[in-house]
Formats: sequence, C-alpha cells, structure tokens
Amino acid sequence: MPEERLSSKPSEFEKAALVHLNSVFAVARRMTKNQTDAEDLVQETYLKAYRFFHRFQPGTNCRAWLLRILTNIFINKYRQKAREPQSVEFQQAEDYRLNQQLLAPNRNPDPEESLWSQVGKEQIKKALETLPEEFRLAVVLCFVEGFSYDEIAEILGVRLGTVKSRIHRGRLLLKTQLLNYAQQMGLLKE
Amino acid sequence: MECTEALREMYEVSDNRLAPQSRPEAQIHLEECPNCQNLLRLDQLVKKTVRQKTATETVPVGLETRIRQRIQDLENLTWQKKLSWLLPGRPWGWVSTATVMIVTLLVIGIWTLSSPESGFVQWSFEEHAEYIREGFKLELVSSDPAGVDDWFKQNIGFSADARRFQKGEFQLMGGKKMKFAGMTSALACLKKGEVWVSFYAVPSLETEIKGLLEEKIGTKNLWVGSEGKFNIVAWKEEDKNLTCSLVAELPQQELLAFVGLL
Repeated sequence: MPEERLSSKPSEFEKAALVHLNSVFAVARRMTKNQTDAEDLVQETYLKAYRFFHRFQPGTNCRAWLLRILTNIFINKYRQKAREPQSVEFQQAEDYRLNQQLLAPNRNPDPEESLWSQVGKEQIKKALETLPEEFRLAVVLCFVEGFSYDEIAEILGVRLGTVKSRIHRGRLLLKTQLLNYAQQMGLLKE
Repeated sequence: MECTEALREMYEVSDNRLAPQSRPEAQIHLEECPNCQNLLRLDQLVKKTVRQKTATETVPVGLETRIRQRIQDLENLTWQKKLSWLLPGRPWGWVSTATVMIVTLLVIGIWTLSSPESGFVQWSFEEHAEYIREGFKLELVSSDPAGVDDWFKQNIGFSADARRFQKGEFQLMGGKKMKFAGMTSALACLKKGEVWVSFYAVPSLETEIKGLLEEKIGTKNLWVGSEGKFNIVAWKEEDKNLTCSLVAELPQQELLAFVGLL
C-alpha cells in the first residue's frame, strides 16, 4: 500500500487529520499550560499520526484518534512526574456545600447566566490549569471536547470507572476554583 | 433517592448526552426536586461556559505550515531511506547490491531455461496453433504435388519436394509463404482424416533445434517433443539444405512413422 499512497497519502492525511488542528491545539494548550510546549506537542502528534496513518481506520473518529496519540505523547514526555491517579470517592458533602454556594445569590430563573458571562476566558483557563493533570485531561475531553466517558476511557487508556471518578473529582475542583474567582471578583457574596 | 445521588447520575447523563430516561429513578427525583433541577441547570451552565470560553485557541501562525513541511520532509526521507540500503557503501549495501545482481541473473537464467523451445521449434508450434485457431488461410489451395512444388519454386525459391507427402492417409492441401528469422520459408499443409498437419521448412541447416529429445530412426536423426496437445518432429535435410518440422495433434508415433517414410 505505501507505494501507491506516495502521492495521495499527504492529501488523505490533510482531509482526515489536519482539519482538526484547531481542536487538537486547544486540547494541547489546556494540557501543557504553555504555548511553546503546546506547539511542540501538536507538531509531534501530527508527525506520529502521519507515520502511523495506515493504522487509522477511515470512517472512525479521527479527532479521537489524534487526541489519543496526543495524550500518549503528553503522558510519556511532558508531564513532570508520573503519578498513579488516586481513585477519589464522590464527595457528597463537599459537592452539596459548593452547589449551595454557587446557587446562593438568588434563586430567580437564570441568574447564573449573567454571572457566568462575566467570568473571563483567561479566568476559566486558569481555573482549568489549577486542576491536577489527570483530572484536567478528563474534564477537558468531557466538558470542552464533548467526548463520552467510553471515548475518554479509550483516549486516556484507562478504565471506565477511573474516568468517572476523575470527572466527578475534576468537576468538583473546577467548580471550587470558579467559585473562588467569582467571590474574588465580588460576583458572589460569601 | 437522595439529592446528591440523583445529581451524580444526572451529571453522567448530561456528560454523555444520554436520554434522561436512561436513569429513571434519578429522573423521577429530579422532576420532584426543584433544588436538584437548579443544580443540574447550574452544572450545564458551568460546562457550557467552560466550553465556550476555552474550546477555541488561536493556532499560532506558521504551525500548520511547519507541520506540512515536516510531513513533506518525512515523505522524502522515507523514500530515500527505503532506497538507500540498496546503495553500495552502506552497511549491507554491497551485500544487497550483490544479492540484487545474483537474483537478476538467476531470473534471467531460469527464464531462459524454462523456455528452451525458442527459435524454430517454438515458431513451428505457434504458427500451427495460430493456423488451427484462425483457420488455415493458404495462399495456394491444391492437392496436386507437382503444382504445389512449382508454386514453391516460384514463390519461395526452393522445392519442398511435395510429392513425398502423398503417403498413407496423408493428403496434401496446399501451401503458404512464411518468414522465419528473416528467411523466406515454406508451409505445406496436410490433412490426415480431419486432423490438420503442418510441415515447415526453413532453408538453412544452421537453424537450431532446441528443447527437443533426439532420436535415431534408421540412419535419420530426429528430434521429438510436444507442447500442449501438439506433437512435433523436427529434422534436417542436408541434401536440400533444409531444417524441417512436422506439427499436428496426432500421436508421436504416427508423426515419426510418416517422417520415416519421407
């Protein structure tokens, strides 16, 4: 097959993979927390994807495939220290307290809409960056990229139960961060 | 069902974009609990905000170009790499070059050996097969040996001595001018019953008879062989300076007997 693909492989790759550059870069940026690492990570991801393009099954989700490659490279190379992610039980009490606080200001229909529109992009990005890595990856893939738990398990190469607990924990941590920002900005009364 | 438990399940439903009915108990609780409704709505709002505010990043200028360039480099490199091991000077380079040459020679050798009936013998078979396939298109249709001989002398320049073909059950049918290796040659066409028989004569004793088995019948040296359903007998006629062959879908013995009589 490689022979006949000499001329068509780059254009096939372009159609299937390069079109996802925006999304792939956004995920890389969330993962690495800095621009240069994100660029290197994306470039490395695409080169690796190109080399192994024969393994990609046309018709399947190319974005998920690219993100799986990206995640692998990131985990192996960019993260400072491989930590075995601890399985975290859903912390009901904390969740309850947090939710009540977030709902606190008033209970009119959709008051949060205006509140949340005031939180800036940079603050949300920073809030994401404060999450420990394994939670951040799961949350980004779920909240931002809209993958299902099954797909995330595949991309991260972990079990479904691990994905669930990471997203629960990540959700909680993210809300805590956002609450802090809202309070600091005076959007919420303590 | 407790609020937190129901919420936890509904978060999962919303994260996976499942139908709410997939968690009926949680759904029932949610419908009865305005607090949970608010919290789920809040969660969806948080998710939406996070998505809207972080999903897009400006891709750095030049990143896409760099990736394309690297892919192009890789593509070029891949082909250089693939071919480079063949070149002498690399480790294994001489070995591979020698291997390629030996394989080439072997292929040529095997090809030569596997087609030993090239030349006159192969030509006889091919012409005969073609005539059977296409139907005999003779330039001269005649059963008169004297007439056929005259025609050969005038048109081909030598006599095939057609008189001798009128033996046993063989019947002379006609003749045709042929070309073999640039030499004007003769085809005399015979029939035995319904079976067509071709007699070819090339005016040269130098013509090689390759790929056949040599047999001696009386004082005559004959070569015999077969291809597919056709048998061939070939021989040289030194007095007439001819190399001859007889091809037909007839048993080898019949052909040999016929030639022996000539």
